[in-house]
Amino acid sequence: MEPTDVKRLPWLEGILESLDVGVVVLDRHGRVQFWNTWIEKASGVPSADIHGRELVDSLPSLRDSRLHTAIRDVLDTGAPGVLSHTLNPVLFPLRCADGRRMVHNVLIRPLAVGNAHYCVIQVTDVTAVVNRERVLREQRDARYRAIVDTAPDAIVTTDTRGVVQWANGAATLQFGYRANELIGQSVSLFLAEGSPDWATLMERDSAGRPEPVELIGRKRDGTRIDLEVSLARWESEGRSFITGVLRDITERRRNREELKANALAMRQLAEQTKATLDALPAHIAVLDHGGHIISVNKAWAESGPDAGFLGDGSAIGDNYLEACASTRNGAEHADALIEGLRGLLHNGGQPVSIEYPGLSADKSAGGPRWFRCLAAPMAAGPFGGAVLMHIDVTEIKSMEAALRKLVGQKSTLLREVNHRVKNSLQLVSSLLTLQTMSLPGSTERAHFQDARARIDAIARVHSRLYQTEQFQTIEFGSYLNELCADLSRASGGGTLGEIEVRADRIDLPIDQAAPLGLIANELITNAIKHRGHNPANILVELRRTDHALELVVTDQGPGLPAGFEMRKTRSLGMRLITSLTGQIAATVNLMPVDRGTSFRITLTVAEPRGSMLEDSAAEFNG
Amino acid sequence: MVDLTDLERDALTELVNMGVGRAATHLSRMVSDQVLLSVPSVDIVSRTDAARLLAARERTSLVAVEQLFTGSFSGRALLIFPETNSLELARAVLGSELSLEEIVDLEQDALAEIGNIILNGCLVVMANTLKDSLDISLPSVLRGDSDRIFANAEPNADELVMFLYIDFLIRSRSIRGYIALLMGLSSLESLKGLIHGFIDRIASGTPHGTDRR
Repeated sequence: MEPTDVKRLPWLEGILESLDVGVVVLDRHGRVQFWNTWIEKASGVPSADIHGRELVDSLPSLRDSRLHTAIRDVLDTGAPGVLSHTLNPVLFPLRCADGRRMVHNVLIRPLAVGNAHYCVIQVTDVTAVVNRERVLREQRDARYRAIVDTAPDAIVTTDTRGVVQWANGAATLQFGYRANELIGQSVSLFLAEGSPDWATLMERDSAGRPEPVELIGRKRDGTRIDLEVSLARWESEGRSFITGVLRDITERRRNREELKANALAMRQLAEQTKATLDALPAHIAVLDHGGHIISVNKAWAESGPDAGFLGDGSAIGDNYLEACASTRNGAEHADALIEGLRGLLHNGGQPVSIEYPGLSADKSAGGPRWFRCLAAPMAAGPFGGAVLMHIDVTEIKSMEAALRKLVGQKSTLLREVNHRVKNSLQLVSSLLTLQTMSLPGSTERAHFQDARARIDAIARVHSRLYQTEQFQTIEFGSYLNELCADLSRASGGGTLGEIEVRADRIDLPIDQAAPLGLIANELITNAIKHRGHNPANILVELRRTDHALELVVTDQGPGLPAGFEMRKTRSLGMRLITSLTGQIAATVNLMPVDRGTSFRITLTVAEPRGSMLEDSAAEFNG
Repeated sequence: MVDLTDLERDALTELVNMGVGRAATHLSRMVSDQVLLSVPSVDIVSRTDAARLLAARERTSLVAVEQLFTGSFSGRALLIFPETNSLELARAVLGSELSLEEIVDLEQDALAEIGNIILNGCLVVMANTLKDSLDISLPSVLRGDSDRIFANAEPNADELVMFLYIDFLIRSRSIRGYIALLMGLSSLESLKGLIHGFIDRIASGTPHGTDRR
C-alpha cells in the first residue's frame, strides 16, 4: 500500500493555504491530495469534495487536455511543464472574484517524497497583468494607429531581414497587395529588382539622422513607382525591427526633372543673352534700384577709365549715379543723365535717351567722340532696376554730317537749275512779247499773247520751285493767287473785272502742278477772252475733298455756245485742257450755273509721298 | 572529442526524432493545425565550435529556451532560433489575427512553452528509451549572440555540444531552428553507453520505446 496522504504539518499547511497562488498536489494516480483555499475559491470546488478523487474525474473538461497531458508527463517521466495562457486559452475552469474568467498560467513539477512520486501544480492568476498589458497596448496602439493608419504614405514594419511584419492601409493601396499578402513576404515583393538590401539601407545613415533613400518600387500590376524611403530601427522586448516610410514621389520626381530641364533652358537662355550682350559693341550695364551696377557686358568691363562715356571705369558693385556725379568734365550731360536715371529708378520715369560728346581727353583718334546713352526700366528683373547702355555714335554722327553736306550741295544745284529754267522761259516769253509787237494782225498778236501766257505759267512753277525749299512739290494755292494776279494785270486790270481766288493750301507734286497750272491758265484766259461786253467776274476755287482735289473756274460771261462739245472743239485752249487732264488722270465737268460757265477739274491726289525725306531734307537745310 | 559511429548517430537521430514527433503531436493539438517537426542530423562538436558555427550562420541575435537536466547524463538542453525565426514561429503558433505588438509581447511566454514541449519531448523519450530517469528544470528564455547563449557559469573546456537542426513546418511555414544539448565529456560517454544498451536491445529483439505517454 503506497502512502496516498501527504504527511501534514499544520504550520506548513497554513503557509500553503495562505499563498496567493493555487497549489494542487496529485498522487501518482492523478488523485487530488491537496487543494488549497485559493484554488477552492477560484474553482468553486471545495477541498472536501475533490480530495482523494482523480482530478480529471472531478473536472471532466480537463480530460485529454494539454494540462492532462502535462500532468501525465510529470507523473510518468518527471519532466516539468510550463503552460502559458498565451498558447492555452483554457486550462483550469477558474473564475475571478468578480465572476470573470480567470486568465492563469500553470507550472507542473514532480515531487518525490521518499519513494512516492507526486505532482505539484502551481496556478498563477495573471488576469490583472494581462488586462493591464492589453490596456497599455491599446493606449499605445491608439496613438500609433492614429498616426500610421491615417498617414498618406505607405508604412511597413519588417524584421531585420526585410520580411514584412506589418503594413498600413496606405501601403496596401500603394502597392496593390492585401495586408495578409504582404506580411511574411520580403520587401523585394514590392521593390524593383536590383534594389539595395533593405537592412543595408539602414546602415548607410550617418550622423544618426535618417537619410531618405530613393528607390524604385513595383506595384502588383508591375507599374513602376518612385519611392523615397526613410527607415528607422527600433527595439521591442529586446528584438529589432525596421519601420520604413515609403513615400510615393513619382509625381515629385517628374516635377523635379521638369524643373531641372527648365533650369537648364533658363541657364542656356541666360548664357545666350550674356553672349549676345558681350558681342555688342555698346557698353551695357544693369543697375539695381539703388543705382548700383549689378552686371556689365564685356564691352563695359573691358573699357578703361578713359573710354569716354559717362561713368566709364565703374565696375560691378559701384554706385553708377555717384560715378556719374564725380565726372570732371561734361557735367551738364552727367546731371541730365543722373536726373533721368533717378526718375527711372525711383518714380517709374520715362526711358532716358541722351546724346553727349565724349569725355575722353584723348582726341588723337581724330575729332571728338560722341555717345548716345539709353536707359530703360527693367521692372521684370529680380532687382527692379534699369538697363543702361552707352553707344559710341561718333561714326554715325560723322556720316550724318557728310550726308547733310551732300544734300545741301544737291539742293543748291536744283535751285540753280530751276532758276535757270525760269530765266530761260522768261527770256522766251520776252522774245515772244517783242515779236508780238511787230505783228500786224490782232489775231496773230492774240495767239502770241496766249503762247506767252502759257510759257509764263510754266516759268512760274519753276520760280516757285527755287524760291521754296522743296523740289518735288509746290504749294498750289499760292501759285493760283500769283497766276491770277499776273493774268489780271496782263489783261488790263480793273476794266476786265474781278478775279477772285478761294484756294486752300495744297501741296502738289511737280508732275501734277505744271499741267494743272497750264489748265488753270487756259480756263481763266478763256473766261477773260470770252467775257463779252461785261466785266469778267471770275471765281477760281481750289479745295481738297476726301481723296481728290477740285479746281473750279466760274465766270459771269455769256456762257458757252449752244451745242458746245469739249471733245469736238477745235480751239487750242480746249484741246490743251483735254490733253492735259488726260495726262494727269483728271476729269473735266461742266457745272450747271444760272449764268456764265463753270468748269470743274477733279484730280485724284495720292497721299503725301516721301514726306519723311522731305522733312529731313528740310531739317538738314535748317 | 567524442565521435559517434554511424550506428550510434542513427540511433540518436531516431531517438530525438521520436521525441520531437511526440512534441509535434502536442503542438498540433495546441494550434489546431498540423505541425511537423523533423531533425535531419546530429553532430557532436565542441562548445566553441558550436558557438562559431551558429555565429557564422545567423546574422541576427538569437533566442533560446533552456532547460537543465541531471541524471546519469547531465547538462543543458537548448532550443535556439534566430530572433527573426522565433517571431515567425510565435506568429505561426499564436495566429495571424494578432498585431505585431501583441505577438512581440506574448512571444516570450509562447516560446518558453514551445521550448518546454520540444525539449521535454526529446529528453523524456531519450530517458525512457535509455531506461534512465532525468531530473529536468523548468524552461527559461535567453537572448543574445551565440557566445552568450553557449556561455557556461563553470568554464569547462571539455564541454561538448550535441548539435541538431530542427525544422518546423507549421501553418505552411517552414521555420529552421537548432537543438543543442551541452554535456560534459563524462555525461556524453554515459549517454553513449546507454545508446549501446539500446542498440543491443534492439538487436536482441526486446521491444523498446514503450509509449507510456
